[in-house]
Amino acid sequence: MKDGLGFVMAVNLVIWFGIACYLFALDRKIRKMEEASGDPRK
Amino acid sequence: MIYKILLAVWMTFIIVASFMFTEAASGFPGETSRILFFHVPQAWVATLCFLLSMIGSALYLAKRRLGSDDLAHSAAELGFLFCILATVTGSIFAKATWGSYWNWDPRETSIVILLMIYGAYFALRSAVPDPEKKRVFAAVYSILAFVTVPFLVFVVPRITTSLHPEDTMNPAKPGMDPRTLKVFLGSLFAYTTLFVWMLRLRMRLLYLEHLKDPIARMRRDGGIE
Amino acid sequence: MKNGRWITQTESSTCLSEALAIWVRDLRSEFRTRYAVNAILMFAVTTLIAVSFSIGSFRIAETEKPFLNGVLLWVILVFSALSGLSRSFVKEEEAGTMDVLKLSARPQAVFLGKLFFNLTLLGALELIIVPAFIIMMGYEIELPGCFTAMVVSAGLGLGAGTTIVAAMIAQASARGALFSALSFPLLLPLMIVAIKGCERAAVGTDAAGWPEVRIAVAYIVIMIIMSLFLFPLIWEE
Repeated sequence: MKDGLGFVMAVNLVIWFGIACYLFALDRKIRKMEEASGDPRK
Repeated sequence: MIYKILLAVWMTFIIVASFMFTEAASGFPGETSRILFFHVPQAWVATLCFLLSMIGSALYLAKRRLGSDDLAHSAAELGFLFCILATVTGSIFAKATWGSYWNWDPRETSIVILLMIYGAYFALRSAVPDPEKKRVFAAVYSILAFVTVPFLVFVVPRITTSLHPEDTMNPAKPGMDPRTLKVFLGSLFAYTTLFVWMLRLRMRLLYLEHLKDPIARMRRDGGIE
Repeated sequence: MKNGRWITQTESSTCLSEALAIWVRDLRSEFRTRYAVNAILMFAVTTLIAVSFSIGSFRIAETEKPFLNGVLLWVILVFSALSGLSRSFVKEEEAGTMDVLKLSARPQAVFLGKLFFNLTLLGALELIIVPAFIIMMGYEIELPGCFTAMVVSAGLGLGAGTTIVAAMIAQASARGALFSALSFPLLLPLMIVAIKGCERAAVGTDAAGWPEVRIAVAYIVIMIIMSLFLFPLIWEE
């Protein structure tokens, strides 16, 4: 039972890792777009 | 940027802590109570999104700033996402604890209705071709939907009897031991911060899209209001 | 024109008189064509017959009857309403008279007039369907006064919640399906309360104060106030 628990936690961590990587990549892409747009406010 | 990295680390810590550092709650079979570390914050974020969407809508109707509509729209999208997450995790919890995936007790019903409201909101947005009308109609609907929610949340539970001695959303907190409470609050904080990050990303994207439209650029620069 | 002047708001007509004028006009045109009434009643009668035929009053256990009958009644009423209530605005859009309507009366008056019209349709619907349902399903009701109050107030609530949505979808594209999709989340609390209230009236135990009727009335008041507030925003686009 405890082993199963570790497995669930590992799956959770992998999912979270994937989401975090995606969000960081998105953040970088948006930052590039913002710089490229020549927005006077930024 | 550093905050986002800290958030990623913090969430990792929370996930580990919710499995390793805490004891499973005694009132629930086996380890199932651990899902509440995730399920409750997701539901909380979903309702927070609903509130933000209504606020964005009201602001848009008052001042007609595109940013307010962006807020309403983004909050609705994220609210939809977190609502689905909350429904799924809640359903898993229900199956593990009470034996069936779905029971239509008041909490479950309100989350489904929230899902329907978001769905209707997006349907409305896509059905109106004129952009200004689309924003106004969506804002009006968001406010109307928000007004009916107190009936669901406060009034209906009082007159219907819940099948289970459930209502994990309220009493679960007092029944927690200190360590569980800390991890729970930590998770709440993590999910809220995660939501804020996602919201900002979405709104930045919408803002960039507005820049492509010359009329929107004029509005921003104070030409037309 | 009237007395050589165009009839506009400057002719000091009150909001209520404008609303009543719109209501009467809608009633007259509805009486001529009977389009909405037919749609709603056809739907309701067909559903009622289908329900009565397949379930009938003998198939339901006595203990379950108050609850199930309440559920079935409100399913029939709500879905019949959703099939026909959008007519009040959609027919204006189809006939091309939307713009004239926008010019001829102030927005709140338009809303109230259309609301009265929808409520009339709902009243006719309930007057016909509720007794028919009671007879065909063998619905025994301990507290008829409470029951009537519940049916009336929830019917008013149905109208109050859907009129502004009808105005929105009349100006959108996928009208029929969109109207149901938008209205249903708004009506769901009312529906739950109505079912519970009818069940309570049928059973007859601790119905003191008619709690559900009060909730329905609160719903009506809130929805009408919010709609009066928000209607001008979608009307004058």
